[in-house]
Amino acid sequence: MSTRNIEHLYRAHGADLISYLRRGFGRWAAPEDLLHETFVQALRNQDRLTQAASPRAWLFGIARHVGLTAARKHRHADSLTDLPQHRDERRPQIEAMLDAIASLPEVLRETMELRLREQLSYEEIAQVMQIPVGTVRSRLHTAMKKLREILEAKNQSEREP
Amino acid sequence: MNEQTLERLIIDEALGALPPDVGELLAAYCANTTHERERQEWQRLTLTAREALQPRATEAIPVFPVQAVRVLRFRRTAVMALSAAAALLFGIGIGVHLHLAQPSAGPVLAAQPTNASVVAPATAGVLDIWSSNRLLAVALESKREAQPQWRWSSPVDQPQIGGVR
Repeated sequence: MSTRNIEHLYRAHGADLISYLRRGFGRWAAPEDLLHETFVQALRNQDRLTQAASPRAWLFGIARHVGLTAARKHRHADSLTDLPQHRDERRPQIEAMLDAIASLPEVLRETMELRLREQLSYEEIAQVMQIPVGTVRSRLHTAMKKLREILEAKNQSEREP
Repeated sequence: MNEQTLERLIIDEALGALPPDVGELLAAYCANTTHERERQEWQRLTLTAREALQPRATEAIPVFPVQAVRVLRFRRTAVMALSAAAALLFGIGIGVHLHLAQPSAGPVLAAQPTNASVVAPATAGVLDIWSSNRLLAVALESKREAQPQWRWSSPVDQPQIGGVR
């Protein structure tokens, strides 16, 4: 795996990675620096890239590790994932969904985001988070059920006077 | 089908994690049952979540860190070169050490006969009682003693043996 291939990966996944890093760890470090560090780590460990089933998942795994390291340095105990901003322009349903997602436990929210936003497969999420595939599936199902419960409870409370 | 299994399949389908053929089978199964409504609700929920999580625009990324790559390459090359040099020096050091240690490593007594064999001909030829040098020296001495000694005291006289006239 040469530097040119890493550069190709940078162009292909850099935008998604910086977005992920900004939302997840942007409060602790500049996303550009985290992205930079992610690819420096990728270059250092590029031998492992050939063994990785999915280069995208491999890069997300490194980015997550880099972000968590930055977060640990700042000793923040806040949630990992920031939700998209400019919510005022969105439809009410999406507003409600964003609130519901924000209320999810951190691990469920992160797993869900990797699936729905980054469109990683269950196996890739397992690789990024270093957990079994069954745990990924279980977390996603739990997250979906919780979201449904939260939204139903909200709808019900709005209907009642 | 088990309700829990069906729900899991429906959620997996909504999350887009089912293979297409399995999804079609599930859709066909749910179409004729009361689960169709539930299936659509899960799909709506997932769609809304997906929309909520979608980024508004693609983020601009900084330029690829070429400088960092160069630094990394340089470091890697330097480390490899230093390692090779260290290994080479270590090998040379070991070789020199073994070379220097080799003569003293052998038994001391084993070296003595070598020295003796080198020195021996000079002294042993004279000292040894059966040595050829000594026997030759003795033979020459006895021959010289056996030969008559001529004395010629005056040019007008005839030479005499052993000084006896």
